[in-house]
Amino acid sequence: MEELRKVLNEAKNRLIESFGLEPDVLLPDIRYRVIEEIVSTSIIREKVELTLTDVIDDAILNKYLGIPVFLSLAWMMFQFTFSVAAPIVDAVDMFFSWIGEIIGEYISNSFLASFLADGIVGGLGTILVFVPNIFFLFLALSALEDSGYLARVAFIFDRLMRKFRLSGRSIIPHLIGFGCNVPGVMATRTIAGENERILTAITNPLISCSARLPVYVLFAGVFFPDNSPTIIFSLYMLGIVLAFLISFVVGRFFLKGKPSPLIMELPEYSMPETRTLLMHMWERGIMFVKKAGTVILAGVIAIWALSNLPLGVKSVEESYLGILGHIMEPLFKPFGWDWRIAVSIVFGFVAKEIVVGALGMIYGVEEEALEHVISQTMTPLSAYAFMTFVLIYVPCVATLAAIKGELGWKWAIFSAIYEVILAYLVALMIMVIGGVMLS
Amino acid sequence: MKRIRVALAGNPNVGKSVIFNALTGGRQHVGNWPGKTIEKKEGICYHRGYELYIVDLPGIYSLTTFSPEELIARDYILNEKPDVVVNIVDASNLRRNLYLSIQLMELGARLIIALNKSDLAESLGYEIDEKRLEKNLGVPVVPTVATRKIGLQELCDKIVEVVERGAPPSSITYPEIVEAEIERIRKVLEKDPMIRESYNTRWLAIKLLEGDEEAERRILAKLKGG
Amino acid sequence: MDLLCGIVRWFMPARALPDLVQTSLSFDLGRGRVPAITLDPGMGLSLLVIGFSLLYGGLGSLKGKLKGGESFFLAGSILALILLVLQVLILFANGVETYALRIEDFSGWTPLEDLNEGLVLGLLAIPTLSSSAKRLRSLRKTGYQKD
Repeated sequence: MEELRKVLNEAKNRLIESFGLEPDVLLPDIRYRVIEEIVSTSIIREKVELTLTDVIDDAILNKYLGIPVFLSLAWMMFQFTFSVAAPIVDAVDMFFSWIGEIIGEYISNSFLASFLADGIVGGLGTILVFVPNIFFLFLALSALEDSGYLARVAFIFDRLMRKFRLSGRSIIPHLIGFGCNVPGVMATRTIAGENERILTAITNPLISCSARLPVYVLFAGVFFPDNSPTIIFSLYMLGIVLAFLISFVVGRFFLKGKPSPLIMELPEYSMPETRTLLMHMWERGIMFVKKAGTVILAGVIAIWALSNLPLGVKSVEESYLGILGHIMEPLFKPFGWDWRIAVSIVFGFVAKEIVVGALGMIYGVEEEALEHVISQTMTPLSAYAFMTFVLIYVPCVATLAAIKGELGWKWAIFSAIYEVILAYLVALMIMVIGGVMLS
Repeated sequence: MKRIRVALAGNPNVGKSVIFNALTGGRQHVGNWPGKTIEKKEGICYHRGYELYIVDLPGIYSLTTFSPEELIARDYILNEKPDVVVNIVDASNLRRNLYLSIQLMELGARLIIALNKSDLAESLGYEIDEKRLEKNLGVPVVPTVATRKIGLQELCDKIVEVVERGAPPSSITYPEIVEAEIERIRKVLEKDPMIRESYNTRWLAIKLLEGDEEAERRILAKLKGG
Repeated sequence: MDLLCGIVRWFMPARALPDLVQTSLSFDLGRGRVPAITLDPGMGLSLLVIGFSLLYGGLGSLKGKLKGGESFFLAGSILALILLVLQVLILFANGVETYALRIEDFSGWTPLEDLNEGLVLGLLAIPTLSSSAKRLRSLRKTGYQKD
């Protein structure tokens, strides 16, 4: 028995080395190739009749039209996820603010009140506020998947992705990542080859998720008022470029094996069934809420504790969190960020949307005044560097948890470390290049 | 009268039941597979002095362990070891159908392919070279149009011929490196007499390599003693 | 009937053309004054794609081509329909925000504001889709031919 296991493991490793594929993927792959070989030599003439799917595919898979069509549909998907879900999001937000106020009114012990209002309700609020978006996102994705279109996306991008050691299927998790990295990473489960799965998952956090948007909007609005959309767009682009770059580098130098060839059967187009759609949406949505929710809630409470202890502390600066910020401050001297920014970065580790709220809390001001305050403490250049840093550094805890879930601790830790280093380096480069360009 | 045990296997909707009914006519019995709610059809057909005992296996797309239908088919072929497995293939959908054929060959079944719906394929514009197909696969190929009872005689002839000839089961050859690993695993498996007697060790080796849970379970059961 | 279809076929691409022009303008992100046209590159791209598909497809379809003709027209119509659904939903959502939730950002919003090109093109998709479907169904009876 033991001998059997040993031989099996050795065989598996040797095969991965030679083919870059695990046996459970390699063998079906070979079977398909054998079949293709047999069939193509035995069939003299293939069918003449076109199906409706073929007709539509003529346009959808067209060399020139394929990607624009995809971009349009992707845009529509995001419009759907954000604009249409907006009323629900706002409703949830209002509800939680209201609860927070009530707690403030009825509970006299300010420490307890703070714990409940800022810690628990705040934490839940953070999660639940983007849950509607997540559900809408999954709904849209299920529609794209069940209709058969998603398979085409993988097909269209396949050749491009190969250059970066990824397969066409990698585009889908990255697409999801624009909404949120957590489901993006989870989506890598469907990718066949182990290497591609790893590369896609660890580069997914480089794709700007929607949580980073509040940070971008705030800072771009303050420092680059005339060009803010362009600046934000550049950040998104930077993320994408880095994702491909890192994917190529890690794939080439750290992983063994070449990308797996993709044999895909494109299913016929069909109208998705409402019931299946809703079921998929619900299943995936709930899973996300459970996984991400618990992690984020814990994180928010932890941050709250750090910022409100030791007991009786008067300002954030004096709390543990503030002390931590001051310790970290020297690291960020080259960028011109002070301890407050450093603290907000720690917040961002939990969930990136918290960064803005955290800054508000640290400066002790409401959001409108925040803009004014920030413009005093940073230069446009350091602001851009900051946004880049937020883009790249450590994935939020929920994403890290997802990476650990899909790939294990080793890769999760690797992601965290390489991203921090990368973030620091890129931000540094920006400061240097920017400094040179401006003087 | 000598008995030949035949199993019919193939994708759903390829015309398996039509062939089954055409061969067995009124001499069939419908029941359930033990412990399952899936229909089991068995029947008899007489040809050239032989009694062909035919079992219609559930329609499946492949032989993984995901669905009860697939398990039934696998178990039947592995445990009952029919003399011949007739794989009914839809000529208008070769690639998808052949995926199962390849796996049946791996199971060590003595395979005959009935290339059914040849008329449909032709009307769709297909032209298939059956001789070439037979040569490439290494397995006899009989074109049929079950609905019009074409090719059925030839099919039964082939069944008898294959049994009389004592043709060996065929399989596909993987690339050298893979074959080497399969062989290594096989050698370890062969060491245990219980396993060697009961199973096609090559198939077992391939399945273990693929991480097939059912195969792993079987080995554990055999090793524990039984 | 055929004549009507022919007219409809011509009309659609012609209608799409002004949209094409409008939306290429909405791409003009940095290039100076863009009068009163929404700066929405996503919408712009979608309209461009749909408009192009309908135009190119319409022309090819008139020439009798299936692939490179009717196919593009059909795909364009389907996309336009999806766009329509999206715009309607957004309209509805904005309505909820203004009237039901009273969000300050939305004070002063009226449904008219959301009557944009996407909606219009989307509405036009309905006749294009049905005319396309009709043509395809008649083709199917005689069997699609590979060009």
